[in-house]
Amino acid sequence: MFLRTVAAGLAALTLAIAAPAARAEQPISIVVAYAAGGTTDTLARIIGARLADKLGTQVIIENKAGATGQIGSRYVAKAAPDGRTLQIATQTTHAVAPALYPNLGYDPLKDFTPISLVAWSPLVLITNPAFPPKTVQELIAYIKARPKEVSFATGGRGDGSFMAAMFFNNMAKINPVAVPFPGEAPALPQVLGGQLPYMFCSAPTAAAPVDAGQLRGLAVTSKVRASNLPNIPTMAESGLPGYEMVNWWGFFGPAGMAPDLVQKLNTAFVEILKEPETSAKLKGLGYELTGTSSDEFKKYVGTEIEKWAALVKAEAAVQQQ
Amino acid sequence: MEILSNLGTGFAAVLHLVDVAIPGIGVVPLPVNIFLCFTGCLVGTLIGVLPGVGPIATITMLLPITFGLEPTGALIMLAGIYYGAQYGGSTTAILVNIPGEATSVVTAIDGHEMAKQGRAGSALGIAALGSFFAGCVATLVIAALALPLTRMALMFGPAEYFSLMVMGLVFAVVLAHGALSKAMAMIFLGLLLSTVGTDLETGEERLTFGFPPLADGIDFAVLAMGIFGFAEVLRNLGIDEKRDLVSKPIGRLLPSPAELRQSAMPVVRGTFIGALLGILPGNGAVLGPFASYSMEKKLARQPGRFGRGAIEGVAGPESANNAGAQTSFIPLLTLGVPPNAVMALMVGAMTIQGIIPGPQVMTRNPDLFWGMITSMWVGNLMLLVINLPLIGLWVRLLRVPYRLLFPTILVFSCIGIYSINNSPLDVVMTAGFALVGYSLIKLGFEPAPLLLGFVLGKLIEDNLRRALLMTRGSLIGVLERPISAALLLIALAVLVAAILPALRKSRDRVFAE
Repeated sequence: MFLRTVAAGLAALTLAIAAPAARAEQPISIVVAYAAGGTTDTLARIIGARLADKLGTQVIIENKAGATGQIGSRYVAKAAPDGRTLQIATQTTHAVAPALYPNLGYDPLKDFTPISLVAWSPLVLITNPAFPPKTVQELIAYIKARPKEVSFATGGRGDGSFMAAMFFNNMAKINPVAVPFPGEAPALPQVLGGQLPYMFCSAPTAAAPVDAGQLRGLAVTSKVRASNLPNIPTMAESGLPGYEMVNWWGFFGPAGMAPDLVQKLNTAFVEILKEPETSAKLKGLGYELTGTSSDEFKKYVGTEIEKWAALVKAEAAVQQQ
Repeated sequence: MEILSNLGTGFAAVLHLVDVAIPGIGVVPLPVNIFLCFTGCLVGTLIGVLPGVGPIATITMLLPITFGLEPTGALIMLAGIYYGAQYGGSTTAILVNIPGEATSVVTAIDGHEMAKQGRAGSALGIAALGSFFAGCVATLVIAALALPLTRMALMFGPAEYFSLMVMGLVFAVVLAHGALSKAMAMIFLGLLLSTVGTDLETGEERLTFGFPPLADGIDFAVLAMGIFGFAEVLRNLGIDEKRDLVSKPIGRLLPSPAELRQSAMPVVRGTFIGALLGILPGNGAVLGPFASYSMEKKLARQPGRFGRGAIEGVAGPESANNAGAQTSFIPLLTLGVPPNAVMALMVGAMTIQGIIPGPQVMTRNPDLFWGMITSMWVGNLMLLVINLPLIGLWVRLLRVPYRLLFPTILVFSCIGIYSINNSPLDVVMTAGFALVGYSLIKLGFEPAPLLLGFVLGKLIEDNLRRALLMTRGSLIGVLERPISAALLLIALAVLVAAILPALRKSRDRVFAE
């Protein structure tokens, strides 16, 4: 078993180095618009490995990181719609980015063919345990009582943690100061150490320190409670009805893919998500699984784009005042 | 005593026997994890030696292979690649003056000088021995003090990181061995280059001239390979080959007893500084080698030797580098927070294996936690065994005529740069920086302060802006925090100590004329 692994390792290394030779057999490449190792990358690798078995083709995960996912998305938008180049997209690349960046260089609906929405996960409003507010309402009251005093951590403009907080501030009519970090990971120690009192953090990342009692979870941002954090109430339960924001992941291809090709890939993804082993593994990591049809996904992305565009506009109006 | 039982768990995990079916021999119980540790260390050393091919690209490529392995074995191997690459990286820095990572920039300064003097063997030897010592001590530190050190690291907010990085910037002044004004100019150029890219707070692009590939700023490897490595190749091509280092005698392959004595204290001090800075989740490890070099230069009886092949300038920073590489596992293992890009990959490798990194790993997967820590100790021993015999081979590489060596260096470097972002444009940018670097060499500017300014610039700016956001724009807020104030005071003291003699010297020179 060990020798085989080493042999496989050497083979893979040779393949990786001799990439042009491998390209002749036309494997499917799943473009991840972020660096390897993140939540999107993990999901792509777990599903990609199953897709390879299912379709009997080689599946390569291609990390094309940069400009908060725009570089990878632009690459896929320009690729041939032959089903050999797919993207695992997120709400950042395909719903928030159009609202934030006027010169995006791609249109999430016109330049892409939606295949299936595969997974989502909520964010958790986490605080340092020493921070006095213990519920969402207490937090809002605390911030309102101290105008311009409270700061919080975010993963930077456009990040899920930033958008969730923007939505929260807008709905609760509060104005705390956002302190940006390059992603959730460097922001988290600041809340753990109490340098900053609270932040919104994606559930897969927040679950471990919340379980260990190093952080307090006040609310989850989804409509229903998170399956890996069942004791934390939703925002709606905490007195903010209508608040819903999740990180989602879905597969897209370039625009103009043949319908039967889309159907074939969609069926494969839906079946993979139903496999007991795969679904148990992904749920354990904090992903909630869906597996929609292509049309349902298209409709969902449309509503998401409208939602974030409206919010960014409202926020800009507040800033102007 | 608890440590002993924990280390016992670790050794049990590392030495764990797995029944392996070998064709022709039958089923044999083998300590598979030891083999994986060795594989990781060997791969790490090799990619570290290849200029430009870093641990990030390698681990990304190898990630799919780890799916089929047990989690403990997979992580032991990946960790081995990471610290193995730190060992290997110093080899390239010393032999051909190409630092692959920020942490080996310092090693290149005196290490390459030593190689030019025919003391490459001594430099490589002390790098390996120092790294071994640092690795062993740092592993013990992780095993014994991981939790209390994590609590200390969490006291660092944006203000503290800002002050720490300012202190680091002052080291850049000490780093230079030429004119102070030229070193300052280089630092500021580095700071300027670090401001290219998307603004963290507003999302606006700065100094990108509407050119999308610059949106994420300039990659460190691109800048370092261009300004250090490629420029060095250009410079060497301008030198008559007979006078080049190739014609120098190879010299001894191991440090002499006198050199070992000279290096002992720098190694100890470097280990201490590196281990301490490595714990910080905000990538403090990057400062370790610079801090160690500055300290050794300040403590040395003849600071003038630094930059001209002082063995302390290799021993200290290399130890700091390796100690930091090991202790940067602490935030990953105790908080689940990756302090740098390689550690972020390790998080990915863990989650794909179904293990959620965080404080629970220690209690839920003690085999994995202690197995990984113990494997680092075993791995360091293996690295010493791998590296010492290789020194002879590396040194002999210098005998290869430069007209054959330099195309090889360039080709490997280009592959390495391409592999970072799969972007051909990065290679072109490196070539551009090579021209800049060559001009700088010809004009007598040193590239090391530029690189330090570049590495620290972004950290300084972002952390200062965060600190100011938190204090609503009050600079006093940065000084009010005790750790932050202390760090700034040290920075001021070091700066005064560095500038005073320089001022006096230039006055003396004026009088002499």
